[in-house]
Amino acid sequence: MIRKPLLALVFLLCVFLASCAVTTSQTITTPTTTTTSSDPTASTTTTTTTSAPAEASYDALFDNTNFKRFTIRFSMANFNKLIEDMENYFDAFGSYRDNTIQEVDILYEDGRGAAVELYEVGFRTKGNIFSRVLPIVRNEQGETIGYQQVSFQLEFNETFRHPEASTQYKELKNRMMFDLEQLNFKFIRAFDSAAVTELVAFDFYREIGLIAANTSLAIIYFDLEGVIVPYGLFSVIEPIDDEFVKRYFGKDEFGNMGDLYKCVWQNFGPADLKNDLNPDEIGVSDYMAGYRMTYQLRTNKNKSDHSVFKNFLQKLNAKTVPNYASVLSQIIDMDSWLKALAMGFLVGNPDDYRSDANNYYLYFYPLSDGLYQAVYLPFDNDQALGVGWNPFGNYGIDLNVWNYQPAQQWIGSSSDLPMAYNILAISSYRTQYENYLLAYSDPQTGVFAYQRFYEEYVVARDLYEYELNLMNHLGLQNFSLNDRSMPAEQYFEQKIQSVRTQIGNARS
Amino acid sequence: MLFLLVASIATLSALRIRSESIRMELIERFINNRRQNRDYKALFDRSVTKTFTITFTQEAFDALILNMEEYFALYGTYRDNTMQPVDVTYRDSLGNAFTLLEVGFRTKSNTTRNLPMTTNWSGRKIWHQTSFQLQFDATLDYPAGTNEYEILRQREAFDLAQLNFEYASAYEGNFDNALITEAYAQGLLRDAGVVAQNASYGLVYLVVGEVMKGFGIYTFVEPIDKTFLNRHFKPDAIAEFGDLYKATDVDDVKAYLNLPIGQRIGINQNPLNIRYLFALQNNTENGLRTHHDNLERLIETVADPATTDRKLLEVLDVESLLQMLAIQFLIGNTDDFRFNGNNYYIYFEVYTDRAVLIPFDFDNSLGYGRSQDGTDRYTVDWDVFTDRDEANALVNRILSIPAFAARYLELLETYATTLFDYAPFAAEVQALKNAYETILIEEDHLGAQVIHARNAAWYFEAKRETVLESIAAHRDAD
Repeated sequence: MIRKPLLALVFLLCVFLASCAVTTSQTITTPTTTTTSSDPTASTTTTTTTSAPAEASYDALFDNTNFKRFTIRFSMANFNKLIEDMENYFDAFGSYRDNTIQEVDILYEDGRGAAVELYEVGFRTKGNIFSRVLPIVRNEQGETIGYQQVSFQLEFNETFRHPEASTQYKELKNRMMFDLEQLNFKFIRAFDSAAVTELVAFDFYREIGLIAANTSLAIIYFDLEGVIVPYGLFSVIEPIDDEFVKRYFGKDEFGNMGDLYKCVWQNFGPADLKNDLNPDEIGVSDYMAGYRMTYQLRTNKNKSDHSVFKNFLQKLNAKTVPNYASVLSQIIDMDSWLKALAMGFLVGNPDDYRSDANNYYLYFYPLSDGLYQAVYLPFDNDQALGVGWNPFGNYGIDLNVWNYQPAQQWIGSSSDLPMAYNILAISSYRTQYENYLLAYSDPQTGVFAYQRFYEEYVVARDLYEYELNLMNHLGLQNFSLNDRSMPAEQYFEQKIQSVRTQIGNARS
Repeated sequence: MLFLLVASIATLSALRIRSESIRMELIERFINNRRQNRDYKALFDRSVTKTFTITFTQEAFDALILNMEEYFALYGTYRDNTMQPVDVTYRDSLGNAFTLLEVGFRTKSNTTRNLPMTTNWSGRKIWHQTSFQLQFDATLDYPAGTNEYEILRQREAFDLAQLNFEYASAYEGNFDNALITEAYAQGLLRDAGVVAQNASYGLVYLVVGEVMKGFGIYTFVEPIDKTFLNRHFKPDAIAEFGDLYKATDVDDVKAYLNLPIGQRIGINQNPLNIRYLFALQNNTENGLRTHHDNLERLIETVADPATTDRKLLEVLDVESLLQMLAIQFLIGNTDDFRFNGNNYYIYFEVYTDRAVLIPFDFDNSLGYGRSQDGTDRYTVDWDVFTDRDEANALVNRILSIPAFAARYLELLETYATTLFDYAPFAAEVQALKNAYETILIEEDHLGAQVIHARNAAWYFEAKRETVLESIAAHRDAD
């Protein structure tokens, strides 16, 4: 076994070399500091000669051309506690979805020259039943023989056990990094050798004017008291929380915001939005209770009675009322939803609302007259654009533009997904949806274009591939456009052709 | 023999003289013979750069933290006011440089009072900015009647008995990169004719044992105390002043001048963490006073529907209040008397018993920080007569009187078109940046290191525009 100090030295040398290997405009340098005290009182006309240090800003974080590296420092005690808590949770509930938070220190470095340390940050693993694993690998004797990737979250405003009103509590509660309270890190799946699938999918949604999480890439190291674990390439994803709502939707005069729900297929079944709500399906999830709500309230946790959501379900499903189309336009931000339906169909994520009644947020935007409009916010797009889960075959390229059966039989039929198919049953909305499909897939002007995917791929490859190989990172090391579930160019070409042909035939 | 006797007497005399001399030297080191008024002007001249270096012994620093932690354990707040001795060195760009020994140091404020150092989960020592007060006249542990006690009791610096230091706390993770907000807002108040504190800013260093830490840019604020009253009001024939109350919200109960009075007025007992919405600051009769006639009369007069305008003018300096309301509306601090029943003093003039309101605490102003405007537009869109005034009996009453409302609009218009201007704010931020930013970065000071005017251009311009539009709309409606 390599001795820790030697390993650390090798690591630092390699990281330095890796940094040097990054293109010249991306060279990471560590700002020098001085302990010499200057005298500002010497002159009133002192001129500034030191440029301000690069900031760990929101824009820098989500600038895909900006190289980013996070080093996450655990004490061995905290790392072991993380694993112990996850194993205890598994023993109790059969999954590792323990959300207990451990203290870490982090170092963020980027290609703009930022080098920012932040102490006492919260760390917890993330992911669902299938994707959340221990960060270590054990042998049959229970000994740690290696490490494995698991998605995780950093919580910059975690207050741990500090009492309210204490200095530490006030400082931590109020703390942000990148103008965010938290940040999600999602490992790049083995089947996605292009690495940028989720990033590009989110960017497509954003480029057509929809509200979706900002996303980029970063390389991760764990530092376990000097034992350096090159932990691989991760997508960094903006969390959808109250800060997100504030950033994109704002608040009213009295600081209020609408209800935000995370809608996921959980213990009580798919998040299909049918009006058959079990009381235990909706509310604030308590992970220590061992199960999650299907509709998890994320804002107004202490004051919402869920009536806005229930009212929405009731109206969405009452399709026999005479003015149903008008009702729908009142309760749903229809234009953004039709855009999302169109882009979702092109992106081809089989695990979203329309295909699997899963993985979306609904934000109930308060209107001035006391009414609310639901805004659909997609998330979790790592299985899309021709990679990952393939329930429809051929990665959904040949799916019918207007109607197809859900990915899983437990959902029932397409008619069991009212927010998709009740809307598409109305001709004006259906036409608008088709128009968006045609616009986004237009070979000359459409947002949904392979060229965009390719450009992002090249940027990511040039920034990260060398260091991933040099440091023998976990997970993806060698980038490829073709060595993925389906070559990216093929997916784009065939999906565009399929969509345009279907609509063209129908209209002709 | 005689020689020996004479020699002994001479020796003893010499020893006594030397001993007295040493003793005088010991005492003299506390004396501040500087020209107080000149230092006051230098301190509050915002074009002068300045630093304070505050030196603790390790023992004193540890005691400060221990006392605060013990108070927190008892009451859940750090509002312990136990004084610790520090040495203070002041230097400025005018060439002033001096050190005061054994000055009293205590932390201050509610929301911005912190332990100056904590130890985190990994054993790392973490420095924290905290607001604090230097008491130049603190007698520390010297017994009453000693020379040290008498000298310290009367000591002043900058023509002040005490001086407050406030840092620009982060709000929702963001620093106020302008850093001048509090001092600039106080300047606007004074320019508008409001009785308000003098304020300036500069660098602060803390030295503990062998360690020096840059604590960042602080705002230096003149306390509202007897020295302040002497500067702004006339005392009576025996140099006494009228009653002074500090009004702050306590446990989310607002210090509006509304009925019922209940148990809201009193004398704070800090060691027991007993605080009142209206805390008497002087004339306390050794802490035993229980009558608060002037304040009770003011509240009752405002609440009485039969009160005439003339009566209001008798119990209240209405012009001063209107000035305060107008300039504060432009400054946009909603954690104030008008919108939150918080952060002001009430002074009763000694001969007339007429009340004057004196505002304080403006770090959340001019487009930065916590605001009651939930839209994050910092009151820019608020009407100059807002429904929010209904919660405040005094403001509601005053602004419902046409003559006073017209005067309020007139003052607003005057301030908006003469005082309230982004250009001088921007110039002052740039001057601050030129003077300090390099040092803040190189020495890794606490708090904001990068200095810029944040959203102030937008705030000043949008606020002025909407205020003028609102004024015009109300005049048209009349």
